Order: sequence, then C-alpha cells, then structure tokens
Amino acid sequence: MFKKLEDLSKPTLLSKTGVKELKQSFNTQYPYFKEIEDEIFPKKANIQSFKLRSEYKVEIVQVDKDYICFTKEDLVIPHLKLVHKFPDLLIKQQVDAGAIKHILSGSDVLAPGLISQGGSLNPAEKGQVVAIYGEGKENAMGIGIMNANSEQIIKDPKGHAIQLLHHLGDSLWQLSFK
Amino acid sequence: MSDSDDDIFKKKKPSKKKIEQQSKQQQQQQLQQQQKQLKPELNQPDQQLKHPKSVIYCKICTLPVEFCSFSKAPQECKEWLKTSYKDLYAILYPEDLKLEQEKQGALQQQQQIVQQQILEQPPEKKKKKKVKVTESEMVYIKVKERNRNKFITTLSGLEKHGLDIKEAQKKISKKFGCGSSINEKGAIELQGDLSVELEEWIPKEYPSIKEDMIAIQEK
Repeated sequence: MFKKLEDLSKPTLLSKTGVKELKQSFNTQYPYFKEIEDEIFPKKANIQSFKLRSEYKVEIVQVDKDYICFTKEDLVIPHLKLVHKFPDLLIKQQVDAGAIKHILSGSDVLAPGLISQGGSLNPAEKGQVVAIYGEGKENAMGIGIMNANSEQIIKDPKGHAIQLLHHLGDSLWQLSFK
Repeated sequence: MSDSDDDIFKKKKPSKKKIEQQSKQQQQQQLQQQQKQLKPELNQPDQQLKHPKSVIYCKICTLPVEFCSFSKAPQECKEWLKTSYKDLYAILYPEDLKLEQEKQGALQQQQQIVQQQILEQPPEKKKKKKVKVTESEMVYIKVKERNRNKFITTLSGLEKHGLDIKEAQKKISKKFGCGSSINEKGAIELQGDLSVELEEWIPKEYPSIKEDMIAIQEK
C-alpha cells in the first residue's frame, strides 16, 4: 500500500474528541492495549496527524515525533516500530524461510507458505489485523489483514491468505528514519 | 510504709481495656508485615510485561540487524557491525570469524619461519680464490654447419694432457653413436651437435681435466 508517498499534507493537531475516539477503537480491537496505554500516550504529549491526498481516508498519527499508527476507513493499524517494542499486541503468524525475500518486496502471503514445515498458523477470524514473522527471526516483518478464517485455510490451501499493508523497508518505514 | 505508697501512686497499672487494645494493635502490625513481604513477589511479573523491548537497527540499511542480508549492500553492513557490536557479529556470522582467525594464524606462522631462517644462517663464507688457467691446458670445442640441418663438432687440445687421440676417438664414437675422423691438424671431428654433452662427459671420464679448462668457441 505504501509504495510511494507523494502527497503529504501539513501536520494538524488532534482535538480531545479525536484522541478519545482513537483510544476507544484501540481498546476494542486489541485487548492488550489497556496495560500499555500510559506508555504510548503520555499525558502532556503533542499528538499530530497527517492526511494523504492520493488515498482517501488514510491518516498517519504522530506522538512527539514518533510514528505510532495509521487508520484506514474503520481500522486502526499500529506502526512496525510499536510492534517491535511490544510484541504481544498482535496475533503472530509464521512463514517459511524461502518466502522472506518476496514479502520484503511487497507481495501478498500465499497459503502454502503457512502450512509447510517452517510455518505456523494461529486461530484468527476474517478481517483481523495480524503480524507476520519469518522462520528463524525474532522481530516482525510485516502487517496484514486476513482474507479468510484459519480453519478454512487448513481445508483449502489455495490462493492469497493474507493481504499485505505494511512491511519493512517501504516508504512509511523510511519516513521515521529521516 | 512510704515506699509502698509511692510505688502505688507512681506506677499505675493499665486497665483491662487498654491491654486488649494493645494486643489488637500488635496483631495488626504483624499482619501488615506479612503482607509487605508478599507484595514484592507479586509485583515483579507485572513490571516485566510493561517494559518495552529494545531492538538494534543497522545504520546503513535501517533494518533490524538480522535482516541485513536482504538489503542492497550487505557487505557494508557487515563491516559496520564489526566495529560497533562485536558480540552480535560473533553470533550472526560465525563462519567469517573462523576464516579471519585462520588467516591470522597463517600469517603468524610465516613470520616465525622467516625469523628462524635469519637466525640459522651461518656467517658468510670466504670467497674461493680463482686459479688462472694457462693456455697450455685449455681444451676447445667448435661447432660448424655442414648443410642446412647438419653440424660438425671439433675437439682440440687433448694432447696437452697426455692422452691418446685414437682411443679417445673410439670411445666417443661408441658412446654417442656418431661418425668420427681425425683432422690434418690433429683434432677430432664428430658428426652432429655434441657441444653440451661433451662438456659434461669429459670431466667425468678424465678427472685430470677440470671444468674451467673447457671452452666453447663461437664462430
């Protein structure tokens, strides 16, 4: 999704109601968020948001010059740096070692990679946000949305299983290192 | 009895109510102390969950250190790791460490061998004095062309050492398998180019003639 970031608007401050809606959507999607709430959103912090003109309804949230998450239509998706700090936020799925090269260049995850020897599947439902790990590595590689239930994938291992939204080395990741 | 009266007035014994209150306070203090001992044991696992995990990112490719082999220039990332984090380099690339250690070991062995050779060299020997060879002892070999591919070699000067020419002619023609004849001037003529082989053969057969006494004359 983030192959090229061309039209970034100027940052605007989020109002109090906007921050409350953010926290509520975080709480409903990720039950682990309650214990970490004070560390991610400290009390006297500068919360800003960017808007993308080319893709509608996508906003990027920034807290004290640290990129935290981005929203898409109704879902809140955390940035990869957050997932590295608190790895218990998202459900983990593991992929074969031969597929790492393709995922880092932006392709989707296919079903045979999850069922083979090097991969593992955890129970998840359609439409949930999931983190992708590689065989033999400690840290997460990418974030995606499930296309079908995990039980259906075991019965019919064919086609695209997870749609990729954000991976290591794309333009969103390089924004945070400038 | 003044002492007994003074004792009674100074020291007042506490009443029954106060004794009960004191005993209750002591029990409460004991309970609080027990709870304090239990609390630090329960608090530790909660604190461990809240601490954020620290990750090291490569300065050149901006990826976590274990993903450096998938970047554009993996060798530059390796050299940066060597200088900054030696422990991680030993864990991630154990084969490269072994190769470097073997190279250093081989270099050290070579240096040790060179040093030993310098110590073992004996002192410089004195140069041998060259004895001049007079003309009365020289033996000459010449090579001539007969036709396009055929040569003639001539031996001269064997009489000076007291050798019979006819016997030498027979030996040479048998050994090298060539035709031979005697010149008018008293020299031996052989068919073919035998200059190099004659140089080696003569001092072995006649040890009185030394190598310095033989010379090949050019045209």
